[in-house]
Amino acid sequence: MISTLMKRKRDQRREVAKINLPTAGPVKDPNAPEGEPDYKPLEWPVVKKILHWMAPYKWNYIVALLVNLAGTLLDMLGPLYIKHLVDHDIPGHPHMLATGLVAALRTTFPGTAESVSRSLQHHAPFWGIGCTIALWAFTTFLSILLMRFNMEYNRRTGEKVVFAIRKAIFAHLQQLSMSFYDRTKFGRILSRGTTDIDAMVNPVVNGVNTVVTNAMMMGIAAVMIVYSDWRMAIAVLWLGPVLYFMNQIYRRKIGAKWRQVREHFTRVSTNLAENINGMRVVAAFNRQEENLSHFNELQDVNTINNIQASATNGIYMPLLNVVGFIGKVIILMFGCYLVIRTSGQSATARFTVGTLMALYMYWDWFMNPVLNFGNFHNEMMQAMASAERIFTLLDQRPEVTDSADAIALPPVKGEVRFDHVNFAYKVDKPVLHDITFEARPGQTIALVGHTGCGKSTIMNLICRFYLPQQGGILIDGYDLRKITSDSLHRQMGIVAQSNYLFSGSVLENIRYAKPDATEEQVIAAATALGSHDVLSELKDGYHTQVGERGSAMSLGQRQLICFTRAFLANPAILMLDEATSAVDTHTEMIIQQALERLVADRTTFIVAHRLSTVTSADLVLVLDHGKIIERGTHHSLLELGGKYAELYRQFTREIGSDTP
Amino acid sequence: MSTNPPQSKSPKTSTPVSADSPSDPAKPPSPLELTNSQLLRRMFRFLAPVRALAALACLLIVAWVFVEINAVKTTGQIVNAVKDTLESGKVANTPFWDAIGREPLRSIVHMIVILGLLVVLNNFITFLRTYMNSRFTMDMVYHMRAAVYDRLQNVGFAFHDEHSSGALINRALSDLQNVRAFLQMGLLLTVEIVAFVVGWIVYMSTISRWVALAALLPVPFWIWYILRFGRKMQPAQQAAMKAGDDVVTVLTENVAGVHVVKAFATEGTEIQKYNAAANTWFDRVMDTVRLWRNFAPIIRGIASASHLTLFAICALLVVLTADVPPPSATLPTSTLAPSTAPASLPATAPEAAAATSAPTATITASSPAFPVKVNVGHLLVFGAAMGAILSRLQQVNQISDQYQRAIVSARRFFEVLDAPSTVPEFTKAPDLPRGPGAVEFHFVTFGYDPAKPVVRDIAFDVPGGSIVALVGPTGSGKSTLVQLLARFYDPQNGQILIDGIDIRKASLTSLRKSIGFVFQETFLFSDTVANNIRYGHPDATMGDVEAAARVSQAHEFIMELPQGYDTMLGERGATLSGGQRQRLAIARAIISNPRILVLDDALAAVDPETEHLISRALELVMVDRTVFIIAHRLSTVKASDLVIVLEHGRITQAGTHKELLRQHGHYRHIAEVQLAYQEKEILAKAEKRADKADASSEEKKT
Ligand SMILES: Nc1ncnc2c1ncn2[C@@H]1O[C@H](COP(=O)(O)OP(=O)(O)OP(=O)(O)O)[C@@H](O)[C@H]1O
Ligand SMILES: Nc1ncnc2c1ncn2[C@@H]1O[C@H](COP(=O)(O)OP(=O)(O)OP(=O)(O)O)[C@@H](O)[C@H]1O
Ligand SMILES: [Mg+2]
Ligand SMILES: [Mg+2]
Repeated sequence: MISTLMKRKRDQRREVAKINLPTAGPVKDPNAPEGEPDYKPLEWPVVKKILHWMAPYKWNYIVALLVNLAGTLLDMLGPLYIKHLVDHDIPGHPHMLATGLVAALRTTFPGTAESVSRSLQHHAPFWGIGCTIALWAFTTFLSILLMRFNMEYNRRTGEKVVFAIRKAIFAHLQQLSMSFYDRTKFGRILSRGTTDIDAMVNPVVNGVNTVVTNAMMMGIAAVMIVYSDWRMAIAVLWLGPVLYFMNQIYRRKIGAKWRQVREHFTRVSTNLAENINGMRVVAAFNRQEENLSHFNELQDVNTINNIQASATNGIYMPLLNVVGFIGKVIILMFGCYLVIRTSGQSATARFTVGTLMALYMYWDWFMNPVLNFGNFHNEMMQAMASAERIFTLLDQRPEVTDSADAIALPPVKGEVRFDHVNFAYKVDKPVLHDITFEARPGQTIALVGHTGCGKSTIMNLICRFYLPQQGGILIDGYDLRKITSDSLHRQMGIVAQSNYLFSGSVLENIRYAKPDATEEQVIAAATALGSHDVLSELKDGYHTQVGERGSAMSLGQRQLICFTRAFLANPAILMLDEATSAVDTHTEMIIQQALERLVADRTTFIVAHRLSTVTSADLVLVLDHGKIIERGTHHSLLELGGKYAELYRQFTREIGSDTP
Repeated sequence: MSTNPPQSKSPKTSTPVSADSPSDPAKPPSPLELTNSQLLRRMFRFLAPVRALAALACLLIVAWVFVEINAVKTTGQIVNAVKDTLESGKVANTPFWDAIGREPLRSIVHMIVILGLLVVLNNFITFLRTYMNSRFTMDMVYHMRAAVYDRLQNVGFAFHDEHSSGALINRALSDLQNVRAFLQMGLLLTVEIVAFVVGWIVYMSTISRWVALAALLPVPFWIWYILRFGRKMQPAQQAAMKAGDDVVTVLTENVAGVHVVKAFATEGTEIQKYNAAANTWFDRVMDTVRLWRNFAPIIRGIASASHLTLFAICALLVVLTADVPPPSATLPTSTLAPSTAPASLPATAPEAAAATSAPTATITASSPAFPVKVNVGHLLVFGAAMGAILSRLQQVNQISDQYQRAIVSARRFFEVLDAPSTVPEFTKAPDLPRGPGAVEFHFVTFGYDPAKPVVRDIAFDVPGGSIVALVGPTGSGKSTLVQLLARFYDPQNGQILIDGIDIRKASLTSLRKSIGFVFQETFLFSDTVANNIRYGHPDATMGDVEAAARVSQAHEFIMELPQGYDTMLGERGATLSGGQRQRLAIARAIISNPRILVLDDALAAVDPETEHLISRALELVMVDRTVFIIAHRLSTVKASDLVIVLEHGRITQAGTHKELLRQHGHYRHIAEVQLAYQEKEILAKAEKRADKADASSEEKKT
C-alpha cells in the first residue's frame, strides 16, 4: 500500500521537475560540465532568503498551517474510533453520547428519555455503533471543510509569494547589463524565470505545511503508541531512527541517479532546441538523418538513466517498506501476546484488541512521515538548487549601473567625446585601444574599417551597454558613468547591426519606444524617412505580423522597420550600425537623401560598408584592429591616400569599371 | 502549475496539391477534430512495440493487488484469532518467549509468518512493477520523441513559419513528459484502482452480497462526477497553460531582444507587460484551484461517506452474526451511568464476550443473508481496504489532472505528427543524377499565404556553370525564389527543374546535397569554429576546413581567436562581429563542394576590401558551378552571365549586365544611383582645393 503511494508521489515530483524549454536552446559548452547542480542540501542562508520572501504573508501561512494541523488531527482520530468500536460499542457498552442524550432528555421529556433508555438497554451496540460512526462522520466532515478552505487559501498564499519572486526576477533582469547577457547563456537566463521558479512552487506552497504536519503526525503517533503501552513503545519505536538512516542512504543514491537523469535530459533538450532554431541550416546541409541518429543516441542514454533510477527506486522502496513492516510484525506479535496475557487483568491495565488495532494503524502514521520526508527532501534539494540560482541572480549587481549620485541627463545638444578609451569584452583580449575623438552637436560621424575592427563596439559603448575599462565617454560634458541610463537612452535612437523584432505587427514594433504614438504619427515618420513605400506594400500594410524574431519579413524590410522605430523616438543622438546593408539601392538612396535633411540637428554615428553612405560625414574615423588610424573628412582622407582611400577606391572601382 | 505552450492554432495545411505531388490519399481527420478517445487510441498505438512489456506491467498490478488483499486478509485473521482466543478464555500467563512457542499464540505466529512472506512477495512485485513501468513508458516515449523529431525535421518550413519554435520544442519535451506521466501513473493507477476495487468487492461478496453492493453503490456517481468535472476543468486548465505560456513568451522575447529593450529604455513598459501577463496567469491558476476546491472535497466526501457506511454495516454485522446468543445477556446497569469513561470496560473477558451478542436474539448466525460470521478481524480488513481504496480514489484527482494534460499534449503531439509535409517526397525518389547543374524555372508561382503570391510566373532557364544574379527591391522575393530551389517550400504552380529533372521527383537529400546555401541571415551553432564550417560535410579534414576558410577570408581572424579553429562560438555566433559570422557561413557552404551555390546577400556585412578578396577567391571556386548571387551592389553582380531583375515578385528584366544597362528600367536606375557617387567624386575632385582650404581653416580654428 505504502509503496505505491510513495511511488506515486515520487513520480509526481519527477513530473514537477519537467523541463520547460526556452524558445532558443541553451548551449552546450564542452569545457564546462553540463548544467548546474540540480540538487543542493538545505542551507540556512538560502532558506532564510526564501523565508524572507514568505514573511509578508506570515499570518496567512500561520492560518493555513493551523487549519492543516487541525485537519490532520481530526483525521488522526480514525484509529481511536475503531478502537472504540471494537472495545466498547460492539461489546455493547452504552455510548457516552447516547447516555448523555438520555440524561439530557430526562429533565425535559421524561417519557421519551425512558423509551430511549430502554432501547439503549436492549440495543446498546446499535446505539454505540451509530453514535461512533456519527461522530466520526462529523469529524470527517469538519476535516473536509478545512481541506476545502485550505486548498484555495494555502495555494493562493504560496502562489502569491512565487509570483512576487517571478516578478522580481523579471524586474531584476531589466537592470542587469549587457555583459551579463553576454556571459550568461540565453537558456540559463530563461530557466531562472521558468524551470527554476517552477521547482520552487511546491516547497513554497506546501513546504511549511509538509514539514510541520509530518512532524506532528509522527509525534502524535509516537505519543499514542507510548500512551497505549510503554513496552510496546520500546519494542517498536527504535525502528524510527533505523528507517530514517536507511532513508538517508536511499536518498543519496536516488539523488545521484536523478541528477544524472536531469543532467542528461538537458542534453536532449538542448540538442532539440538548437536544431529547431537552426532548422533551415539543418535542411540546407542535409543533416536530418545524422541529427536524428545523434538525437536517438542521446535518448538512449536518457532511457537507460531513467530505467536505472527506477531500478534503484524499485530496490530501495520495497526494502524500506519491509523494514517498516517489521514494526507491524512486532506490534502484531507482541500485541497479541499482550492482549492474551493481560486479558485477565483489570479494565485499565488491559491491553484490548481495539488498542492493538489502533496501534497497528498508528504505526502507519508514525512511519509514513519518515518516508514522506525522503520524498520531500528530494524535492527540497531541487528547490534549494533552484532557489540559490534565483537568489544569485537577484543578488547580482549590474556592472553598468546608475551610481547613487547619478543625475538625469538633461536634454542634450548631442556632443559626444571619447577620451582615451580602452575596452575589452574579455579581459585578456582588448578590442579598443586609446580611442579619442569628439563629435560636435549635429555632426555626422562615420566609422569605417575592416570587419571585426571594433565599430559596433564603439556604438555599444556610447549606448553604455558596456563601460570602458579606461578612459571616459562624455555626452554634453556629462560623464556617462554619472547619469541615469534611462535618461540617456531616451535621447538616443539605435539601429543595431543584428536587428531584433518582437512578435506582433509592424506598427507595434515601430512604436515600441513610443507606445502612445498614433498610427498617423508612425506613418508620418516612415514617410519622412522614406520607408513608407516599402512598409505600406506589405501583405497587410502596417498591420502585417512580423513573425517570431521578424522571420516573416525579408531582411531589408526588417531593417527598415528597425530604422523607423529608432527614428520615431526623435532622438538627439542617432546610431546606425549597418542600418541599410540589406536594403536595395533605390530605397537606400531615398533614405540617404531623407537623412541628410533629418539628421541636421542630430549627432549621428554611421557604420556602413557601402561607403556611399559615408561621403557626406563631417568626420570619418578609420579603425584598424581597435585603433583609430586615420581621421578627417571624406575628402581629406582621400587626399591622404591611406587606408580609407584604398577602401574607397576598392568600393568605387567595382561600380565604375563598367560604365556604359 | 505549468508553463506549457498554448494550445497552438490550427495549422493551415496548405499542401501544394499539384497533379503529381504524392499527397496522402486518405487524409486522416485533423488532430483537432479527434475526440478524446480517438486520441487515446492513437496514442496507444505507440504501445505496439512494447506491447508485451505493457501487458506484463498490467499483470503485475493484478498480481500485486491479489497478494495485497491476501496480506490484509491475513492480518484480519490474526486479529480474529486473538479475539477468538480471548473469547475461548485461554489466557497465557507465561513470559513472551514461552507464550509464542505454545498454542494459542503459536498458530497466530504462523499466520504472522505467512503475512511476512506475503509482504516480502508483494514488495518484490513492487520492484518488478517499478522497473517494468519505467521500461515500457520510456520505450514508448522514446519512439514518440523520435517520431516527432523526425517529423519536425522533414515537415517543411511552412509549418515552422506558423509555429513558434518554443512551442515546437515543447511538443517533443514537456508534452511528451505529460503523456508519459499519464501512462506511468494515471493509466497504471487506473488499472490498479479497478483491480483493487474489483478485488475487494469480490472479497466482500464472500462475506455478504449486501456489503458488496453497498460498496459498489457510489461508483457510478463517482464516474459521473469525474466526467462532468473533466469537462469543466479542461478549458480552465488550457486557459491556465496558455496564460503561463504568455508569461514565458514575454520573458523569452525580452531576454532575446535585450539590447533593443535597453536601447529604447523600455524596461518600465516591459515590466508592466510582464506583470500584467503574470497577474492573468495567477488568476487562471486560481480559477483551476477554485474548481479543484469543489471537486476534491466532494470526491473525498463520497469516499468517506461510503467508507463510514460500510464500516457501520460491518460493525453491525459483527454484532448481528456473533454466534453466542445467550438470552440472559443484559448489560449491567452500572455501565449505563454516563459518568463512566468510554475506556472503562467490563471486568472480565467472559462478560465482555457475553455482552457482545446482547441484542442478537432475533437474528441467528445461520441467517442466509450472512453466510460468514463477521467479526472484528473483518472490521480491520474493511478499515484497511477502505483506507487503501479511499487513498487511491483520491488519486482520481490526480489521474484526472494528468488525463487532461495528456489529452491536450497528445493533441499537440499529433498535430505535429500529422502535419502533412509541405514538401512531400516520393517514397522511392531517385537521387538527383550528377550533372552540370542546369536550372530551369517553369512558370513558378508561390506565396507563403497561397492567396497572396510572393513570386509570380517566374520562368527562366540557365545552363550549368553559369552565374545568375538576382537583383531587385527589398521584399521583391529574391530570397523566396532561391529557397524554392532547395525545396524549402514547394511552389503552388509551375515546376523547377535541375538538369531537366523536376526537383519534386528527386530525393530531398540528393537535392539539398547538390546545393550550397549561404543564407541572408547567418545562423551558427554553438560549437567550435571548425565544426561549424564542416557542418554539412562532417568528414571533412582540417585541411579542407582551412582551405574553405581561406577562400572566405576567414582564416586570418580565426587564427586570432583564443583557440583558433577549436574556439567555441557563443549562441548563434554572438561573440563574433557581423562580418566574421558571414564569412564562416560562406566557408560552410563551399566546403561540401556543391554543384549549385546560392549566395543570398552573402557579402553585405563585409567591408569592400574583404569583399573584393572573397569575390576573387570565389571566382576560382565558382568555375563549373551554377551560382545564384543575390546582391545590391552592382560590383558583385556585373560579372554574372545572367542578371534577373525581380520586382514585386515578377521578373521585369533579364540579361547581362551590359544589356540591362542599355535598357530603361530598375537595373539602369540602380546603376545610375550607384554611379552617381562616382560622378560626385569627379565633381568633388574639381572642388577639392576649395574644400581643402575650408577644412584646414576649420582645423586651425579648433
Ligand atoms: N560580445 C562579445 N564578446 C566577445 N568578443 C566580442 C563580442 N562582440 C564582438 N567581439 C569581438 O570584438 C571584435 C570587434 O567586434 P565588432 O562587432 O565591434 O566589429 P565590427 O567592427 O562591428 O565588425 P563588422 O563590420 O563585422 O560588424 C571582434 O573581433 C569580435 O570578435
Ligand atoms: N516566412 C514568411 N512568411 C510570410 N511572408 C514572408 C515570409 N518570408 C518572407 N515573406 C514576405 O515575402 C516577401 C518576399 O520576401 P523575400 O525575403 O523573398 O524578399 P527579398 O527579395 O529577399 O528581400 P530583401 O532584399 O529585403 O532580402 C516579403 O514581402 C516578405 O514580407
Ligand atoms: Mg559590427
Ligand atoms: Mg532576402
